[in-house]
Amino acid sequence: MIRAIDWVVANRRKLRIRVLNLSFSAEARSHYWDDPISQAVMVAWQKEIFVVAAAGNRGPDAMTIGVPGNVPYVMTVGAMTDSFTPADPSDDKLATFSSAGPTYEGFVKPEIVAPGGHMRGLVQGNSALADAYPEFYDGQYFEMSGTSQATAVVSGIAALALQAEPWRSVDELKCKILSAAKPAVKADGTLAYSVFQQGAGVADAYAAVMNQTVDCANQGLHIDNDIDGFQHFGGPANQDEYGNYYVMGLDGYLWTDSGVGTEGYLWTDAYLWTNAYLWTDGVGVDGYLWTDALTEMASMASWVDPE
Amino acid sequence: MVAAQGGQITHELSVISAVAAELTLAQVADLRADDRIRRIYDNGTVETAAARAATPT
Repeated sequence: MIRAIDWVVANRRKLRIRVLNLSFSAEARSHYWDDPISQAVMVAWQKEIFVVAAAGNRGPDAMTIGVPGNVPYVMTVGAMTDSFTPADPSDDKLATFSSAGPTYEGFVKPEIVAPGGHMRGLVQGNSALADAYPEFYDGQYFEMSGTSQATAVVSGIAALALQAEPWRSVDELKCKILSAAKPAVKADGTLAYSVFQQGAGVADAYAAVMNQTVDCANQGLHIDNDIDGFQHFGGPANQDEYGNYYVMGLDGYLWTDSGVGTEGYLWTDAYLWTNAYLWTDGVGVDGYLWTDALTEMASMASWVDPE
Repeated sequence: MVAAQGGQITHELSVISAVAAELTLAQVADLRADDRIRRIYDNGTVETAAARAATPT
């Protein structure tokens, strides 16, 4: 996998590679900055390649985001489904398998969700996928569910947005896409799913391309220093004394154990994110810097309270 | 350094300033003790993020 990313980075100019879709996941075994795949992914982002990563399919429990979806810089994607009724959004819901944040370093992930249920695509009969999952292959089309599939949807949106505005930086593009998303809300206006499950909500391709909000992503992070090992970052998520996860400085974003309901919810733009909502304010009001001085054990234990 | 220990470099991973190598446990131990090397990781597997839910999704 690292060789593949290496190849993409090395050939980015020659082939004008702007988007890298990573529809895979592995269990996180270290901090994001210590993981070799994550390091390669960070270099890709540093070189202005927009990396879209699968959240993983270990949901719906909290803290199930895999590598490289736990890398704070990249766009991490969870899955929702139309419940087989594409014309009826009222039964759309989060996919139960979709991995949820926060990450061990306290970042809110996934950033966004996209259709990832029973997705169909052309696949050759001699491909590894068709071989491994013949039950999902009809000889021409392959149909499968997963955050892999949702990830590819967002990669497509990124390509569309770059086609319209090729000068956008990866951080600007991330902001455009996530701030155009539509969160799922209940009738009373509260979030239908925790921010750690749905992120900013379901991706909206048209709104993302048209969106001119560009300064909301990866604020306060410093990727050069992160790669070089001078600084590492923690996000605004925290855990309270009862084990609930929340975003520091905000009320009402609690992770609830009710998990993923069976009812559908409307994905709407009616939800008012407060100004304090820090997508990615790694070192904002409530974020903090990791320092190299922390030992591995201390840093793992202290991700909840180093304010 | 890997070659000096008798290990076999299988891939250059320039994007992260690293190499992949086939090593015995003894060679790994020797290399870990070398402070010119920052970290050594086992190779691992990743999975395609595709779900097989009990109910159709």
